[in-house]
Amino acid sequence: MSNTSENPKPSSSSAKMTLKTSDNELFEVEEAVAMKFCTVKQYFEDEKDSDVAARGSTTVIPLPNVHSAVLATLISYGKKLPQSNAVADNHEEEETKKKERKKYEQGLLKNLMPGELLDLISAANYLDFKEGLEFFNQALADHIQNKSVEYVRKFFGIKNDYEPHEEEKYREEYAWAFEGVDED
Amino acid sequence: MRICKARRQSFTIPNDLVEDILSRLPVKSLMRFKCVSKAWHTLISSRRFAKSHFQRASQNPSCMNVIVFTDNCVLSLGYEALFQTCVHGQPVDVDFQGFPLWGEEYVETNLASCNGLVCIELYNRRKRTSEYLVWNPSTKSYKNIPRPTSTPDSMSCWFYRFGFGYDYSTDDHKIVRPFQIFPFDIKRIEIFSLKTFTWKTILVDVDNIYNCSLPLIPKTTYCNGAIYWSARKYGKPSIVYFDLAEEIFHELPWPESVLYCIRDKSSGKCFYTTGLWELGTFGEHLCLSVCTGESRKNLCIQLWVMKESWTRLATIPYLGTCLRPMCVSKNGEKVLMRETQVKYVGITGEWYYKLVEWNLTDHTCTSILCDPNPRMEAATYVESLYLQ
Repeated sequence: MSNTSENPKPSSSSAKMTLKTSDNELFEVEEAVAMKFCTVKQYFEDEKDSDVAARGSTTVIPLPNVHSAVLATLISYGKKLPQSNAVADNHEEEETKKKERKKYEQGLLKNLMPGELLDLISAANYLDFKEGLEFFNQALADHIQNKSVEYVRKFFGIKNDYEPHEEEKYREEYAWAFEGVDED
Repeated sequence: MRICKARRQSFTIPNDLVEDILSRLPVKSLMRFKCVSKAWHTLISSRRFAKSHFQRASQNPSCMNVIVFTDNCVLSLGYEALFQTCVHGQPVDVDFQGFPLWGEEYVETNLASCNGLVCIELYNRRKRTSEYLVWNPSTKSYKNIPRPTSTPDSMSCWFYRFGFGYDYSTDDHKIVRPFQIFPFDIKRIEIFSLKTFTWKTILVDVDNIYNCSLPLIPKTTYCNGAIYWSARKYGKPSIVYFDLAEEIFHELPWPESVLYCIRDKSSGKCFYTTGLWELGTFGEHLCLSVCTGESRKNLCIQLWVMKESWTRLATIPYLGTCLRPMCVSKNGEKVLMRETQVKYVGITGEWYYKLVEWNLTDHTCTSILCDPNPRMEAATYVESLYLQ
């Protein structure tokens, strides 16, 4: 589990911030990436206003609701997004980056357990990481699209509050919606 | 990434995230998931959710479908099928109670669609009366529309082509039927609201530009809260639209550079193309497909889209028929169009329709359905949860 920036050429011009997870792991992250987490951005801006410390170098931002494994994935995803402070690429470079990101996204989803998606969504929501939330919400939607009602109940921990005869009636009336569903 | 189970915090996903995730799902999944719990049933059945789901689906070209009514069956074509050649379309089981689709020969079936719903009209040519039904092909639900209580005697008035649209101001789908009462030439419009499930008739403002003839045959087009008719005003083509929120008729200016009167240089005679144009949609814009050109031998079809003003989109060869733009592919290169042909048997003209796909980059044209049927009505619809 890496807790340092994976950037092979650390640029001296980009400031770094330290994030501390619920399991007390420290993550050093480039400011450009950390700012995508709006919760962090807000904390950082509040700190700047109160003039407490120099730009991110000694401040450790606590994230008590995020586990290190989850943060590692979110940071990794954040790095692959187009950076707001980056120099504008030409069309070709943009296309290559897009393809690279697609490949990364596919790889990421392949290795992810469905349960981990919920943790990622929870963390992205807490961190107010819009792009991450968009991506993982879509991934979860794609995952449950063809699943059965029982699977979905179990996955989300939802209790079935229908009477058996009510459910039976619904299933009969909308039989077409229950066709071709994945086996549990 | 693996999280040790002992460390994982139990997380109940907040409702707004559940809504976000569910709004990305196709209608079939959502209709099934109504069974998950009563809370999910309430959420998925809500008007608010239908609206947000539709907003997302309408931005996704893959959610576009085409419904085709032939003279003996109904076929559905999904986005994947649409922009490929030689498709057969999926037969759709339709059984509308009290609404016989393939009844008498003198009853014709007309379609209009908007925002995920399809409105079907059964027009009785002998009695000059119409029956309506509103259908959601995604949820398979439908509603028979009651007859207007104050419909004037069909022999003393003339109904124009009906329109079906969505009123943004009231979040409501409406059926509109403009008509004219003889001999006083009073123009009125009947409006049915799906929300209140009632008809009302309003008088068309006398100062209004509704001084043109709205034809019965060409279809209406719905675009962005208004219904458009291809009309004629003193021999010139005229685009008339009814704003559903304001309930007022307006006229859209004709693109200036499009000639509808082509003068033959040698004979000096005018060739009018006033009948050879159709309105349709290109993405979310109104699209005009018009036959025009420098001379009669040099005709083409120009496609114009209405954005801030009329912008010419493309020019395609004129092959003797008029084309109505229906929908466009994801990359904007291909346009699905309905081709209208008239075949004359003696003096009677019979209208035939085909679905074709024009490739705007290489100017090729392909027929879509493998077994085209002469009596074909088609309409596009986006998957939606309106009417469950």
